[in-house]
Amino acid sequence: MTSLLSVRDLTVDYRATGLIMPRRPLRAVDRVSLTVSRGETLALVGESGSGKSTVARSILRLQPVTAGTVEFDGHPVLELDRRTLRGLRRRMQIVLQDPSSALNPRMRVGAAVAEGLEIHRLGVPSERPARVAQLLGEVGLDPALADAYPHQLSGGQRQRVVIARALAVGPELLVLDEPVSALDVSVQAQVLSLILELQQRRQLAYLLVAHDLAVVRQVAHRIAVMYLGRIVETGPTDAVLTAPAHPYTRMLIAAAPDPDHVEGRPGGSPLRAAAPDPDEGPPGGSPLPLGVSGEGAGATRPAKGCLFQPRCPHPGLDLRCASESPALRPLGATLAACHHADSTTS
Amino acid sequence: MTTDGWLRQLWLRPAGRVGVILLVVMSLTAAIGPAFLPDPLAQPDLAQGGLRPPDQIHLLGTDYHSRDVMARVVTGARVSLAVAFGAVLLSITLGGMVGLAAGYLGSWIDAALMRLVDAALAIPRLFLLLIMVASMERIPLWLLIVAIGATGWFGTSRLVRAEVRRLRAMDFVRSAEALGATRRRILARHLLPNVLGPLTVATTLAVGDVILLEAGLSFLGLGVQPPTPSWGGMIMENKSFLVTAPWTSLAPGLAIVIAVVAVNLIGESLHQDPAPPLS
Repeated sequence: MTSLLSVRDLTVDYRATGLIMPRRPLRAVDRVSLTVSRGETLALVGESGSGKSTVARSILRLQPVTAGTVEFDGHPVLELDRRTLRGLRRRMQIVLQDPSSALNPRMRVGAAVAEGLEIHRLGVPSERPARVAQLLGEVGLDPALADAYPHQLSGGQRQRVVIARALAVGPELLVLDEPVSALDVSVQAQVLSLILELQQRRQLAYLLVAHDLAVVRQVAHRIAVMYLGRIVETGPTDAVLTAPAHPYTRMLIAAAPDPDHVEGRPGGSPLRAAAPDPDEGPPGGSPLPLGVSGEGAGATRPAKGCLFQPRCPHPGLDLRCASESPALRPLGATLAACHHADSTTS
Repeated sequence: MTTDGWLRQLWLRPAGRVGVILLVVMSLTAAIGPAFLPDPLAQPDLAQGGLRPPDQIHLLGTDYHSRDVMARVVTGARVSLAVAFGAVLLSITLGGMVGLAAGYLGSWIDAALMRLVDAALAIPRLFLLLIMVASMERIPLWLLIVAIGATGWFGTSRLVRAEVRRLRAMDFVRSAEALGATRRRILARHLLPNVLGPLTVATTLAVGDVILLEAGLSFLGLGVQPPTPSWGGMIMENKSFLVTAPWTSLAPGLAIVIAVVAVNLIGESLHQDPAPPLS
């Protein structure tokens, strides 16, 4: 199967201007490659600052890219001129994290959903209200909400409006940047099931950016784990979650309050409380989850070698880790970037 | 779009309602009042001398030249209010456009515009106006409006720029870009409606400033030229009779106070309600 989206060696630097001399640019994304096929969900996971949102935004050309290529259905997205890009934007849309700022507070819901139709001149203007009503219905909202302002809606309703707004132009790829992390747990479940339902109905390809492994487990077919701008492990969801090869992936899974992975506590609801953000420390005063050590990723960026090496709990840590950057290689059922992972996978 | 919303809010607040009523009454009086009053330039009973105290014929008395003070205050409102609203309209348009451009386009355009504004703000406005106005012998009214408007937008542009920069970073602008919206559309549909709130507040507060500025300029003899009545000009003309014939300067002075208070009441009421919160 050929991929709908194919990203190769995507690199994004953030340039910080110093007082006198330009500072060394910060590499937010480092040679990331990934593919997404029609009807498939690829989840990008990692702690805050790992560059996963930057990848998502770069693919839609919402921010400047330093190097690499992004191909969408054969079109080189990063090289297109404005007009061609505008045409392609119909086919790839984004749902952003925070539903409170993703909608213009001065625009009624109906106008927000219709905006894509207007921009791309889809359908006859007189039929747009009916189309908007239909879209609102499709995301499970009362069409009468078209006259409401965003501040009159709940978080879950707003996120549904954001989804309807993206769906209006009939995209094939939807980038979901933390689509439920700002929502209550009960609302998360509803929005997630809407996301799953839409994928089946419209054969959508999803690039899901998330830090919550419980969410990822529910919707993703494949996972790519990012650490400090690099993909450190990738593979089918099941394989990555049950037999992770990379020490960082293991750390992430251990940090998630996931009943399936705690001995003596089987079962559990399909949806769990959000995984704690590794930057925010242990939740509710509970002891530090097994295997998590070190500061947030941003604080420790070695100049060379494996980026994870300063926090790595692996017993085989050696000089090679400090000098040579590991490449992705097959390890068990996944691809992982670690020199030593195989010595403990058993 | 949400104009109806904040106009209603304004009306529901007692202070706002008082301000609106005062301003409407003043504007109506300025518009139709002169038709029912004597000619503000006429000197009907010059023979009996000027500076007559208020009586049935001259409700607010007469000035040194025996002109009807009431007629002059009401006619002067036309000039003073025209200058105030004309100049403010010009300055918020300029300030809004510069602020939007600087805030949204960023980079060197932003830097150039804002350094210009910094430089302009470093010079006191009255001084700028004095230079412009004093270099001419006779200032037509429209030029006075342009001069006041052109020196009043610096602060507004900063306000708008800051607001636009804040908004530009928000997800709904990102989402509009992802939908393929043009820059013009983002400016007109997403940024402009969201800066209208703060802009309205700044506008109403500026109206009061400009009325006082015009009064000050006219008082210095550099604003509206006699014999055309304007509030500030009247106070200047009659300053020597402040003790002997206080009505001559108290009447226009009171008019200034009422107009400024009215506009500030409106501004304050709007200020309390920046309409739908952003987050």
